[in-house]
Amino acid sequence: MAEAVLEIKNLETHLASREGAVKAVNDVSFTLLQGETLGIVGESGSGKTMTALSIMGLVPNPPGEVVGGSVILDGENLTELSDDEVRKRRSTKMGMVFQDPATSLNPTMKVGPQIAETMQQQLGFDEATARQRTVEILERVGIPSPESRYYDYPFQFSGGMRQRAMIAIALSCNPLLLIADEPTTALDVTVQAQLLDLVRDLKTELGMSVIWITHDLGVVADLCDRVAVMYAGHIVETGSVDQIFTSPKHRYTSLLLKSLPSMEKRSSDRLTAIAGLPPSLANLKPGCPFAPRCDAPIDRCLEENPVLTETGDNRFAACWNTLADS
Amino acid sequence: MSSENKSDKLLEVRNLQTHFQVGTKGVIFGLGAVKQTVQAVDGVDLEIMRGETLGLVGESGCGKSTLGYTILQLEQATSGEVIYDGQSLVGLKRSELRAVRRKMQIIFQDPYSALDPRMTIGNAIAEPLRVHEIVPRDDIQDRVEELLKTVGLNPYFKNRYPHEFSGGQQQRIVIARALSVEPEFIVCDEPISALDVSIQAQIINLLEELQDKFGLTYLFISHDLRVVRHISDRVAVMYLGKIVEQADQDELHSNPLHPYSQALLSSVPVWDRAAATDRKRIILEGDVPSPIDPPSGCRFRTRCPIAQPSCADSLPLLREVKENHWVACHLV
Repeated sequence: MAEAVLEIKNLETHLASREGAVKAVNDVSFTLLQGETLGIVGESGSGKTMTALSIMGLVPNPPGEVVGGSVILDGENLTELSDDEVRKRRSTKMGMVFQDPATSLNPTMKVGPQIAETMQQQLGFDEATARQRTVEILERVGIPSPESRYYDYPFQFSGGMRQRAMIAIALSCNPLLLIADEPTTALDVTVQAQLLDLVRDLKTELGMSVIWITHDLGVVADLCDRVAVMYAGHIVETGSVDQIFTSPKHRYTSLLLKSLPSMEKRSSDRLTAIAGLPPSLANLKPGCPFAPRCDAPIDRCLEENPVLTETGDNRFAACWNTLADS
Repeated sequence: MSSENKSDKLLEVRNLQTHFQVGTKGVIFGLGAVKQTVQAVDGVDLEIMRGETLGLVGESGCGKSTLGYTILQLEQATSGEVIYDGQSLVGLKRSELRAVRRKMQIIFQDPYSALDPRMTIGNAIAEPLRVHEIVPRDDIQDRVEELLKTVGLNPYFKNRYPHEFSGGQQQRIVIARALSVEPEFIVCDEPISALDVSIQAQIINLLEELQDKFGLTYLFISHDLRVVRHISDRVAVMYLGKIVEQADQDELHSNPLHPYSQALLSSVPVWDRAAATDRKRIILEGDVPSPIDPPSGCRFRTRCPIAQPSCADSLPLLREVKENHWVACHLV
């Protein structure tokens, strides 16, 4: 039985705003096992990026703050550690890849030294060793002519290559956990395919655990073992990729899947759209946040916020009116 | 292209080129300077029939947006022809173009930057009604409210400003504005890419409903093959300024002939697991070459899994290899 690399328990992250506290991460709990790839899916405002930032200790303050819960990485609760201690673990135990490499890479520094720098600081390598290891990693992530590319600036790299460089930085200290927040969203689909292939290989080779945040359910199905679906700051459903895609229990998950145009069956019918808009997180009404848009709410849905309940073999849904097995 | 009843063909594009000068490259100014040109659209032939949706797919930098803008005369063509309903558009005088502009509209990717933030949405929609004198002055407000209702918005909000609406609502406002002039043809340039997934379906449905209701013709530009598959009747695939394949929707999907189309279709991540298992994934090597200095001969040859040395010798022309299925490849 694989061990848990990351345990999130009742995580709460609030953002101060004129309308009051925005509950960006609202009582979020999940576990990530060693070697597992968890996809976190949700739309804008669902809380997926805030969850990642909360795990990494990177919630912008002001206006944000982790106000409750625990983030247990490799047995240590990060919410109880000082900023410096978290920073150290961020470099050595967690690797991060964000959506826009143009703003994540330092544009005034050559790419190679940016990667080598982390190794020198965190692992105590000398310059020569760090450079050699960097060239090896650049090659491993598929950057051609890594010895000369080491001395290039980020603007000399294409979008796909910059993301590879980001992955290289993320991997440089052999982290336990890779957190990727929409890393391929801004890339062309053929470049995305290359990167997904790379990540798949690296996962197997390095035995990394991965959290992959995206709105693209196709990518989740391609890359992930398990899925957590988020809506309005809550996790509304978790399960294996097979379970979630073949028989979702939560109505949001199901409606979302039905609203996607399919490549395989071209239908002349209209798509099943979800009516309405996601709710304002500052003014959440009592009850399930999805109730106003749900196709089958019951009375309880408007009164009580559902909690994640086990609905089957290691799968959970926060819904008072879950779908039956199809 | 086969000749058909002239009134069925709404738009014809012949050998269209849009090149952009991007400055000079040279050691000393004026000496040895070489003008560089981005060959954004480089020799495109297209036809769009009345009432159909032509999907235009390709990745960033392939020239699909530039092609859309050039058709609408928002970008100036370097050479070639754009013939709308039998009338040639390239080189028309401004006053003549204005009359045609009523019939052709565009919906952009980012609705917020397509709306004037200092105009109420009611005024944004009323402006084209006034400019083109679509309805008498006194009827303008009624027409604005009607248009808002048509796109699913409450007319009560016509005095609000764009920033007060969500992305999906802003896109509806943009659509209402485009419809106000009673157009025949709308270029949809990535109209849903900036919207949340659960809202995308709403906008796609709206576009389809409007097409049925008003008999509209669409050029639907997108990098999202899944959406294009759903909404288009025919699809054209672009690469580095050229169309490499064109066919009916189902035909292209089940039988892509150009190696780039095959790779493109195979890289779309599919959540429908049952379907995913029997697809062969083709991973392309490397990055897209620069449109300033495209490869000689076939532009795709540097990344093509089946390229032969002879592919560098000459540009493959778009040929009809099956009925209504056109491919530009030496090896097909």
